[in-house]
Amino acid sequence: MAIAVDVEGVTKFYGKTAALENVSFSIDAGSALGLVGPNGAGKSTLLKMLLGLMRPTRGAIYYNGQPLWPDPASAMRQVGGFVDTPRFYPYLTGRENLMMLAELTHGSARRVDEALHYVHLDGAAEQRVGGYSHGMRQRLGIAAALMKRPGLIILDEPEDGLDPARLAEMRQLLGRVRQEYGSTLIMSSHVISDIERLCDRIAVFDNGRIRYVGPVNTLGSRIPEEILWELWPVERGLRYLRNLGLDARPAGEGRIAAVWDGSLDLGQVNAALMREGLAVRTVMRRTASLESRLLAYLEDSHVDVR
Amino acid sequence: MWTYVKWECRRQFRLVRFWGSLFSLVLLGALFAYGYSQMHGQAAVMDYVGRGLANGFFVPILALIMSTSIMLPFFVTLFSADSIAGERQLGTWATLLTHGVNPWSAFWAKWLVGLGYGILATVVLSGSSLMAGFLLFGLHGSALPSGINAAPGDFWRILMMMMGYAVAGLAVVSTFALIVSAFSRHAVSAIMVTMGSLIVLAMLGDLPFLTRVRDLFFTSYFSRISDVLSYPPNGAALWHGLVVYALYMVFFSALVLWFQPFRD
Repeated sequence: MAIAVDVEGVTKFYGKTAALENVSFSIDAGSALGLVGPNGAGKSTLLKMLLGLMRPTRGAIYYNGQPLWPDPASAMRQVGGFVDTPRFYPYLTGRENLMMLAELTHGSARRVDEALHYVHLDGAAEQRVGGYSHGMRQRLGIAAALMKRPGLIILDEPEDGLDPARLAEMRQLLGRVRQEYGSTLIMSSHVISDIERLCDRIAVFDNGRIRYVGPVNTLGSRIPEEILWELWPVERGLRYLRNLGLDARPAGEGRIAAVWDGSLDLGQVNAALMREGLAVRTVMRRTASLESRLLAYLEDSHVDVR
Repeated sequence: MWTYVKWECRRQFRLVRFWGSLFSLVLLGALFAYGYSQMHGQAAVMDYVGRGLANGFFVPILALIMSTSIMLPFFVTLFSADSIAGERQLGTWATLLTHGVNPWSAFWAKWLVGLGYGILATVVLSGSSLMAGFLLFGLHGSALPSGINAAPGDFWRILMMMMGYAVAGLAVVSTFALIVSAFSRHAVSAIMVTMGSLIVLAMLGDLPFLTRVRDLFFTSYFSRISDVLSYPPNGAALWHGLVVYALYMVFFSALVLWFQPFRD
């Protein structure tokens, strides 16, 4: 059963430094929330608290209306996931590591084998984890999470440190998990396209606070789309478009980009350009990616986004 | 908890350092026997251990006297202090917690396994030194420091009591090490704090003005072992030691119950 999550006014102090300040949000059962933001923004701290590894200084976390604390162990039976890289005993085999976790939480050997098969680790199940590659460990971490049939999956940068081939594999795996298990998903990532692909909601963190939480497609939605013209001569085209009242700028390689708010008819503008004797080669509509919308959003919030 | 004990043992059996430590103890026992044969007839040793030096029974007794204050606790500390802090450092502690493993089950299982290791270490050291002593000197009756002649049966009883007492002391050390480990992020810190504390306690016991305090609170293996060697053994002193050990255990357990240092 998918788990609904409520985070209410969660604050975490390390000594006198606040790692998280008054963070609140809710997610419905079965939905997916992506956490984004610069390093040190508080994403991992929040994930640690959601995984019961860290107590909040103030505030509360509820899973399906039940408080996570003071007994996170019982809640964790239905939550799968990891923070940073999943860690296992290097001198035990992959299968032994999962068997241990299963036996300690009354799981079954059948689920272990199913989970290993699901992440394509059946062939390496009898190898010691010490000999696993980073990608294999990530997949073993996902297998450990999946063998509980979790209602909530929490992943911290699951693509971290993977080469392009393993990254594609991981994306595919996470997509499949979402589709087949229907679990609620909370994941942090620096790969914004993955957040866009896997999550329906996004939470933007900065300096321990949530700057935005809501649907992915409304983040920075006021950022208008752009039209990209490839034409010649560029200087005349630029002058003409500016005369039309457009915020046009050279975009390199004989192209002009202009912010498009939809107040003019694009067909008429193109026709007018041609009437002016400009050679229009291509016209392209460019919607702002989530990444650029996120960057614009953070810049607007006067945030250092190094 | 027993499932955890099973997996904890299984894990330990895979570690080279576990077998390495047992091998070191076997070697240590043999070295004690050899060293004992070299000390043959030295007055200082005779006064302390007894007059019947050419007796295999004295080798494990001497080995326990020499090793229960620092050497055996050192082995136990390395084992127990590494348990939670080592897992924290490796990241597997977080894996266990996020998987819904009850940290208390893990804690008590580690405590039991640590205790088991203390027993095993004592048995291995005593066994190897007894074996080597038997090969060098044979097993027969001999005179105790009190001047009373003890038969082989009496020596067995003395040896068993000494081993039991050493195990009780090691249980306290193991519990202390485990608790320090539960509060530490790194195994090295836990080992250093535990060993440092043991050394400081041992040194405090040597300060004359703290003798009374030591007798009351810092019950030491040495004093109790001499009580074992008296004939008949000094039961009151032994019980006092065991009560102090028990109080330590209660205090350590209360610390963990109060702070519950399993999560950040």
